[in-house]
Amino acid sequence: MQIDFGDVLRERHRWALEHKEKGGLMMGCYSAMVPEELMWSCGVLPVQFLMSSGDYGESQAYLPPYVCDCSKSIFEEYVNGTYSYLDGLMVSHVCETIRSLAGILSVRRPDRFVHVFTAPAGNDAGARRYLKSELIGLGDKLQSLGAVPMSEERLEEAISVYNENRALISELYRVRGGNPGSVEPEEVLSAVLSAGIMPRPQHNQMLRGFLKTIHQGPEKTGTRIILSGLLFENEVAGRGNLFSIFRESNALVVWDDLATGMRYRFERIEDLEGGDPLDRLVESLMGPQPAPLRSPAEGKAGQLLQAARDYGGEGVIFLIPKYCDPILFNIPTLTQILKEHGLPALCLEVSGSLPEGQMRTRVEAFLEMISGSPFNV
Amino acid sequence: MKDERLSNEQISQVRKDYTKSFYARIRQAKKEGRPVTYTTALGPTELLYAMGVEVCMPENYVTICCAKQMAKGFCEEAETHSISPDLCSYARCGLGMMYSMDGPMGALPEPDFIVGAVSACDPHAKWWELKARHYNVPLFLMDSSYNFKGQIKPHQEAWMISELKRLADFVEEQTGNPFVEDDFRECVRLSGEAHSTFAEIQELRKHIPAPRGIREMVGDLFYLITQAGRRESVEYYRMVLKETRERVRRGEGVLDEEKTRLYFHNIPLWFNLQIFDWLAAQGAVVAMDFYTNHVWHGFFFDGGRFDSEDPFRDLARKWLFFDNHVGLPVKLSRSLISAREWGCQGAIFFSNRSCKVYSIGQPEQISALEQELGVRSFTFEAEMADPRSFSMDRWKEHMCMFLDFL
Ligand code: SF4
Ligand code: SF4
Repeated sequence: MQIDFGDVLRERHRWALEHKEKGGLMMGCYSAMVPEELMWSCGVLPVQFLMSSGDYGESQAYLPPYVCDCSKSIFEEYVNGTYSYLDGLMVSHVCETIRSLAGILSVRRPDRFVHVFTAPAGNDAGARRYLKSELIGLGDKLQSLGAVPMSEERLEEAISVYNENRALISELYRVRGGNPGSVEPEEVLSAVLSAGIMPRPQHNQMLRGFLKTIHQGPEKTGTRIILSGLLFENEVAGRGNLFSIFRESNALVVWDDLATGMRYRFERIEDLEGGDPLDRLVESLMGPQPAPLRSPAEGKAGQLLQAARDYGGEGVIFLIPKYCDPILFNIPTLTQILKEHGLPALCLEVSGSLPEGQMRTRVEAFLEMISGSPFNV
Repeated sequence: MKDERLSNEQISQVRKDYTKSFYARIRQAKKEGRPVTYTTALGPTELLYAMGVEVCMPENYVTICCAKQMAKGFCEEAETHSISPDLCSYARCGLGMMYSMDGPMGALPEPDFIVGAVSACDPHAKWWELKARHYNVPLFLMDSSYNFKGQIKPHQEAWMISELKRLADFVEEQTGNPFVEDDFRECVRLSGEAHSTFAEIQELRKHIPAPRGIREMVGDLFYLITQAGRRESVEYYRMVLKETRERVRRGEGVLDEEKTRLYFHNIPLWFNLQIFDWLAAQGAVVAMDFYTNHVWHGFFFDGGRFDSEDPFRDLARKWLFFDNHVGLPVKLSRSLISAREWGCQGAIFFSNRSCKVYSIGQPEQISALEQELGVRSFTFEAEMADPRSFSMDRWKEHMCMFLDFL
């Protein structure tokens, strides 16, 4: 059977509603830097918000014009009832906008559970102690909402489900990096984004099947590019024009961090012999983190350079959501470091939908410039 | 201190002279090889001063830049270095000064290390990261949990205390200056006294006519931000308190006859503080404002005092009640208290493109003021440190209509 993660994104609420029917709880989340394993172990499905394709007119009276489309979309769908099945909201402090948005939603719906989760940027004893208490407190709060009580055994199980998921996604990235023509970039991104809205055991099953369907045919040739930043789902699930431009320009995406920065953590949670699963979860949530606010840009630059080395990337295209401060602040450092290493970069501002004409010209000119000069440092 | 009275101009001259000497002190420290740090305007100066570090706050330097009408050029300079015009104008102007090695009193001396705050806002982390990279110096980022509803749990306080102790270790490592508990205790005590005195001054603003205006108050804030932990801040506030009490006793106000008392929300437009003079000319006084009362002073505004006997704990609490660290439920209740208790009949909400942390959530505050107090609001959009964002003529036109309406 054909496995299409695009379908999962198109029917984005199906999985959550099914989980609810079985008596589970649902937590609307923003960013992967929330304790998803803990929630899942308590029978709570973390549902990462996906973007709606609206003009966000409703949000205008409540949010200033200088905030990202992503926060407008969450606001709108939260208040118009699209996410009425949620039992609560948990956002991670990855930017000021999302933290402030949580405040608005909590004032508008004081009856609902709203939690701002802080995953410490540093990793020291004080931060570890804090985070452990925070997670224990969170378990209690979830229980008071009707969730299953926290237990070591269930948490251990959840960690292993999530670890398998990370391993499968890493494998998908490795396969794509080795032969980028073998799988379309939208398929990879849809697979990662789907992880945020469906139960991981089912996602693992789909991913296993999907990996088997990837045919390693002859290697395609083209300009090998890396994508970095954040891309909203309507560009992915809706087969947006960005990827068509790449295809028509014979560009091959070899690696991306588009969904990983905010939505997904790649690193598996270490299996420390006999270690308390809660301690291991704490360790995995501590800095340095994928969210650009909470880790220095140098780390991200190193990751991009490594991906270029591993997969023969010839250039990086940064996709920057309008008004996304943490990503915007990283750009000067990232472009400077990449330049110092001879890896060309293009910055494209993206909003809910990308204006095609201008983008096509810029992408084509960039690809023409970099084509045939593989990064080799 | 002498017994004779001081005019607002004289007080403001004391502050201006001290500001100059403060920047001279930093330059002198640099010359003598004493440690100089850059920190954000929320930085824990009490700890840094206790450890013999000179504290330089680029945000404060930006406000001086704005007053001298130099900010536009520096913002533009930053934009040529890939700093987006959509980012906070403090950061843009500050980075512009850094790139062009210039400023209102010349370039700031280079820092030996930098103390930012990832918990406070996006620029408080990332702007400082850019600076640390530029000067190639170590960066320390303070982190803390969010005080969403104004109730601090023990593990939140404990983490904050551990962050302050981690900073003390870092400073010791950078400077070789040992952390001396008694020195720190004294600095925190002085900071507590400065805040308590400042709270008394704020309290006096409840009088009609209001004895001290927002222009003076935002100037006064210099000591609370940059000098917390130093004796000079306590002396300054005592002087201002004494004079303000005297003004109350004599019935002297910003205006002899107040037609309207207003609440002002957000950072002042540093390049155009004249808007407050213009308001005064229309008979309107800003009787209370968010910036001087809620941001640094939030813990004290909410009734807290440095009385725990543990200086780390006191400072941790101050930190966790900065407006940057509290959620909208707390911000909202603070706005209601300020408008109600200081007798405001109208409110001005400045929607500040530069500052998401203070601006997102304003509509909820506006409707709460209207529903609970019948206080109507006027909103305008601009940026506190980029004059390109603001047209005085248009603002006056809209403001006239609002005042007429009130
Ligand atoms: S797009 Fe950027 S600014 Fe918007 S919510 Fe996500 S991280 Fe925050
Ligand atoms: S103005 Fe706002 S965004 Fe800018 S540094 Fe200050 S608190 Fe942060």
